[in-house]
Amino acid sequence: MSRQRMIEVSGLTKTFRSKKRIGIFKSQMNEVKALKGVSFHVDRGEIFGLLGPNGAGKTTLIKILTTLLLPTSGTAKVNGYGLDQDKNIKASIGAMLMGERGLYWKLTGRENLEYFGALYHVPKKLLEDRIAELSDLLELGDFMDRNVESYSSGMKMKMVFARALINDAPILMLDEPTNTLDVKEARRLRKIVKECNENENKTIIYCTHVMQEADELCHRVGIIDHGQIIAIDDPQELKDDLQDTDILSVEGTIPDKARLAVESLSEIISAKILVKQKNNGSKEEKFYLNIVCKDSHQSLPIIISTLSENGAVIRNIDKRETTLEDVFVNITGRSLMDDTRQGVSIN
Amino acid sequence: MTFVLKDYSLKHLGVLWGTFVVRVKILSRYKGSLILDIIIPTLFASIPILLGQAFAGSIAAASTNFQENTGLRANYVVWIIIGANVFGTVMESLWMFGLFVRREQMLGTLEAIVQTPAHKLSILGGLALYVEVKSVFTFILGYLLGCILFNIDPLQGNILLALILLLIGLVPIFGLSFLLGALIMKVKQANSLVNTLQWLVGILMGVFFPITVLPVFLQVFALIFPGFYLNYDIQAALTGLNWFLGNLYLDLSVIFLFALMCPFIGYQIFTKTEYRIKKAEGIGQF
Repeated sequence: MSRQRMIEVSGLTKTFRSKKRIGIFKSQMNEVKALKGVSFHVDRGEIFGLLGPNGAGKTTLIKILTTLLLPTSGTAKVNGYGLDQDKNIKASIGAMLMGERGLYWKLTGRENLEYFGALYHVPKKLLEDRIAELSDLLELGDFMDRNVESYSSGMKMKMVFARALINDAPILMLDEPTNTLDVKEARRLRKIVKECNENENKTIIYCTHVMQEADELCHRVGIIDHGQIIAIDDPQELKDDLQDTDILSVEGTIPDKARLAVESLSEIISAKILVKQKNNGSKEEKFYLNIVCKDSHQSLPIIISTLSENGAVIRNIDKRETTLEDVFVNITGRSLMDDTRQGVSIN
Repeated sequence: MTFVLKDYSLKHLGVLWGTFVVRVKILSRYKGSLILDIIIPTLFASIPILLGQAFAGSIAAASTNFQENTGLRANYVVWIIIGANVFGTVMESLWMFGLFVRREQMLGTLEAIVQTPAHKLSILGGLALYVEVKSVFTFILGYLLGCILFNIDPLQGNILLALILLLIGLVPIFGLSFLLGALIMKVKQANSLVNTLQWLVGILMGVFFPITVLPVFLQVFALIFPGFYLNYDIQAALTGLNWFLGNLYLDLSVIFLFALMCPFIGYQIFTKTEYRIKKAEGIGQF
């Protein structure tokens, strides 16, 4: 029996045109291709992760699917409705797109939810019950009756998430929902997302650049880079494709010269500087050299000698499990963090 | 079918009422701004009133000069106080939608609102209701304050008629507000637009002086600006001046005509601009 397609995207492209200033009076047209023929589908009850670095096109794609932005070409259907049936699409989704923004700061959390409930045409009686339910689910407690301006970033984020759930829509679109949350709150939010999916069979698109989140939550992941979906599968399947290789993580002080020397060795598939996020959602980061090779036992001596000869000070070497980050590196030759971390020396 | 229609109307009324209530709640948390809205028109009116007194020697002499030079048989103090208060409500209405769009863009709530299935017109209806209620409130209190400060009997004219004219006359201004909303959504410069246009609006409305003292080309612009009729007719209702077209019903017809045309044209232009923005950078981008 075929599963119901909740989202179908076919050949979606989006080109942004803007004027680029080249002097006080001169400008020239600048074109940015944010999406280049994106196609995928999401079935009912599926958590579909969109994993990619900043600027990959995740938010543009979500904005098109929520009808905030029109595509340049291609088609998409959400809950069976074409993009021109925007009222039906809007009624079918709950979205969290702009992080902690999107709330009236001078209103209380409850007043915000009441207003957005009215905008989603939720009947008043149902709305009261729904707000009470969300307050319990997200442990909003006393915060419900405080002005949003007095909330912490994390609390605002939770309130925005409550807003996305207010209409109890069958589809949720969440764009980096754990961005400003601390480790504990991020874990709790992911648990709620999972419960929404398991208990209420909600279809969820979850955009993130944090690979652990995609790995932990999603039934399938689409890896997006430079406006294109470059891989799409079950996270485990994606990782299994790399199982015939070994991955070493080298910590220490490693100059770029040493990295390049290792990368030029015939035994090595790739050697990239990556960022380790200590815990999901945590801001704490650690840089390390990620080496993909055929056989780590055989290659280890030459790796150590090459690094040492080129001025590297090695503190620790680990053989580690394949992650989605490795999948991304394997396909693109870059790290998920490359756009913001280029040229950083690791210590 | 009746049920569906009733259900449909209730949904829209819920959005309209919800928007109205939210605006009132937000205003209640900025009490100082409401007080300023009441006081500012009187401060605004004081400058030309006191200037007139300084030139003529007394308010009575200034009033005589005003009547002789303009041909209007009205106490210039009342005339200017009314003008300043109507100007305040017109500015609030004119920028209602434009400033709403810009504020919501900056707050991030515009995207959140546009993501909902609520119809734009229901949201606009709630906003318009809020501005109408607030305008009547600030007009009455602002007018009373001006009259008390300048020792004038506030009950001398037909106040009820003036309020009815205010309520009807603001409708075309809401239409113009869509035009400015479209402009602000496009150029994303609300404050500089407000600052530039407010003086022009004041001149075209005839707030401090009748439009007959303006150059002919500006008089033509004033005659196609609904704010002028609104201001003049409220002044007429409260000071006993002749109606602009000689008859209340003729003046009302012009206001009604504007009330039909302006919202329609303004909404069409806004919707087209919104579509273009959705094609370009997307709604909510600031």
